[in-house]
Order: sequence, then structure tokens, then C-alpha cells
Amino acid sequence: MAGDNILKLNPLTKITFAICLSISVFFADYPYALGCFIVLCFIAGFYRILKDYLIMLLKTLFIIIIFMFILQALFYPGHEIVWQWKFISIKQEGLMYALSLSSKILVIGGSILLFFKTTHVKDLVSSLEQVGLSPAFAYVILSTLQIIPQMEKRSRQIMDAQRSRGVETEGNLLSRAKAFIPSLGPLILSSIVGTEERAITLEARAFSAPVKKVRAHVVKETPTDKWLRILFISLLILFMIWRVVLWII
Amino acid sequence: MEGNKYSIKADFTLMAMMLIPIAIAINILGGQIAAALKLPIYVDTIGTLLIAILAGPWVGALTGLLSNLINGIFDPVFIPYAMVSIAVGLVAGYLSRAKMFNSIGKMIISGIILGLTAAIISSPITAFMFGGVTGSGSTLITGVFLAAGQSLLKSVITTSIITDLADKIISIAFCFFIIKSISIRYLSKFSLGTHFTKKRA
Repeated sequence: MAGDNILKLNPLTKITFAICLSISVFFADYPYALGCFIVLCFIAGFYRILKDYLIMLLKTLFIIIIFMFILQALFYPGHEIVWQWKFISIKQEGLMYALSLSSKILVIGGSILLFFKTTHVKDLVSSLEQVGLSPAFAYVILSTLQIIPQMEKRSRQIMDAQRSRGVETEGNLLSRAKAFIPSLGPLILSSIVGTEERAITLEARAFSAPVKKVRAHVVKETPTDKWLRILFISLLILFMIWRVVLWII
Repeated sequence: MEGNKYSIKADFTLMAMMLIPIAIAINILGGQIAAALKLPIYVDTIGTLLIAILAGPWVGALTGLLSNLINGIFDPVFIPYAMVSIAVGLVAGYLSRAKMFNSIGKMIISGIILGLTAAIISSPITAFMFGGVTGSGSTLITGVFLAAGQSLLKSVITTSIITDLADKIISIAFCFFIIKSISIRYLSKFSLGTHFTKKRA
């Protein structure tokens, strides 16, 4: 069961892999980057999330990549015209530029997405805390992730309430703009009032006491993790040296 | 709060730390509400501006960084733009220390400074990392400038100055409205909050 083993890797190991891969695409051409993307898809397949992963990529990165191809193909300064219709012409240089840029974006964005698709942010924050992130900072990140869905829910309630009071949320631009203040204002004010209570509650639990904190959630780190991290970083360095030497010669 | 005794540590009070998650959520929800109302601006920095104005530049910068990283979990395109949010937080915080949010005229100047900051930092990212594309309606404006024969960077800068200036001035006006509605008792708990209490008292 290879997939189960990868699932248990330390988040820091996975993020090292993602960062190394992202840096490496700057030292090679687009065929390498496309190869990296295929590797990412294979990893997603291992986790049995390939379909979800590709759908997420479609929703986020592909739109930008398509726009980029259109913009670069039409406006990039070049001479070799591939296709022409009246004043519109597609140049080869533009297509190549778009291809090399979008393949890099695909790998960098793709590895970040894959990392978060296979890792709970809770695990990431805990493992960062174990290597020295301040607990207060870790709390801020984790409570943000909890607060967003809560505030989303409240925001929907407030918008419904304002609509029932007769605030126009449709129609022309001016009336929609006017609806912005009664939609967001109460949300912000009510959330701000709640922060003081949270501060007092945390203080009552010795949140800012200058002692060493214990934690309930511990992320495991195996020797495999350490070796893999060393392997990824040394592979990246070797790859960079190889490319730079080739480039100089 | 007389004199210039500001420090990074003094800005990070527990209250300021508790406001960071709220500010990040405001950034994200402001953008969502603007999209739901089909407004032609992003308004996704209201939280960063609000916290920078109340708690100073470094809290603002941290909020900006975290907002973009958390947005980046779902859409990695946000991550390189963290630079812009950090800059907006820093500049807004320093402007607030200089009491540049205390009158309408000063606020408009601050809005222009912030809009230009955002445009100058975001344009190279858009131009060189994404080839001029932002995945929103403003790409169309960029295309128009490109078709008129301008260079890519110039087209992107012109586009973002137009969109960012409007965005920041509206966001600041909104922050002003929010700060006016917060009670003095609460404002005084932030390192820069007293700038807004004296006028009212």
C-alpha cells in the first residue's frame, strides 16, 4: 500500500518536495516542467484524488493559462507568423513564451495545490510549531481557518436580513454599491466586538504566560522524513549545478 | 500615545492578535460580497487596511501576508500577490502613525498613495509571472492598451493604477465608516486607536 505510506509523511517533508520542485522549474525549459506536472498527477493518483485535483486546477489555473495564451499569442513581439486573419496574427514567439511561462505556473501552482489537498493545515501548523513557530502565531492561523466559515454563514444571514428590510441587492450599479455598506458593516462590527471576549477567555487560560507550552496534537516525524528531505534538497542542488554548468558552457 | 514611541512589539497586543483572524476573514468576505453584488472592484483589502490603521504597520503586513497565503490554499495565484498585501499593510500602518486618516482630504491622499503602492508592486508580478493576465475583467483593459501598441509592463501598470486607485479610495472610505462606528472603549485598546478617539471626545 504505497499510497498509505505517503499519506503519513510529515508535512514539512511534503512542503520541501513542493518547494524544491517549484524552484527547479526555473532552471529548465518547458518539457521538464510538463514532466514535473505529470509527476504531480501521478502523486495525486497515488492518493486517489486525481479527479478532484484536476477539477481544482481547472477552476483556478487553467483560466489564467488560457487568457495568457490568447494575450501572448496576439501581442508578443515576433516575426514568425503561424496563423493570420486580417489584422489578427498569432506569432510563434508568443506561443513559445506563453508555453514556457504557463508550464512553470502549472508546476508551482500545482504543487502548492497538491500539498494542501493532501495535508491538513492543522498538521502543517503543528509541525511548524514543533520546529519553532510561536504558539500565539499558530493559534492565529488556526483560528482564522475556523472563523472564516463562521463569518461566511453570518454574512449570508446579514445579507438575507437586509434584503428582507428592503435593501436593494440587485438593479443598477449605484443601488448595488449602496447595498455594500449594510451588508459588510454589521458583519465587521459584530465580529470585532467578539474579539475582546476571546482575548479575555484566552488570557484566563494563560495564553500569553511566558512558559513552555505543551500540545495535544503532535505530528510524527520518522527517519524516512529526514532522509527524504535531505534527498530532495541535494537533488535540487545537483540539478541547479548541472543546469548552470550546461548554461555557462 | 504622545511622541513617537512605536515599536513592533507594542503593536502586537493580544487584542491586535485576536483581530488578525477577523481582518483576514473581512478581506476574504469583502471580496465575496463585492462579487455577489457584482461590483466592478475587488475590495479585498478592507481587513488589512482596518487592522493596519488601528494596530500599526507590522500587524497590517502580517495580516496581508496571511490573507494571501490562506487564499492561496484554494487558489495558488494569490500567493505571489502576498507582496502587494504586505506593502499595503505596511504603508497604511505608517500613514496611520502619521495621522493621515484623520480628515477627508488626508484620506484621499492616503488612498492615492496606497493605490499607487499596490499598482507599482502588483504590476511586475502580473506582467512577468502571469504574462499580463489577472483572470478578471481588467485583463481586457490590458489587452486594449496592448493593442494600442504599448509595452506589456506599461499596459499592466496603467490598468492596475486605474483599478487599484478606485479600489483603495473606496476601501478607505469604508474603513473610516467602520472606525467611526467602533466604540471609544474598544478603539483605545489598539496602539493607534487613540488617534481616532481624541477627535470625537
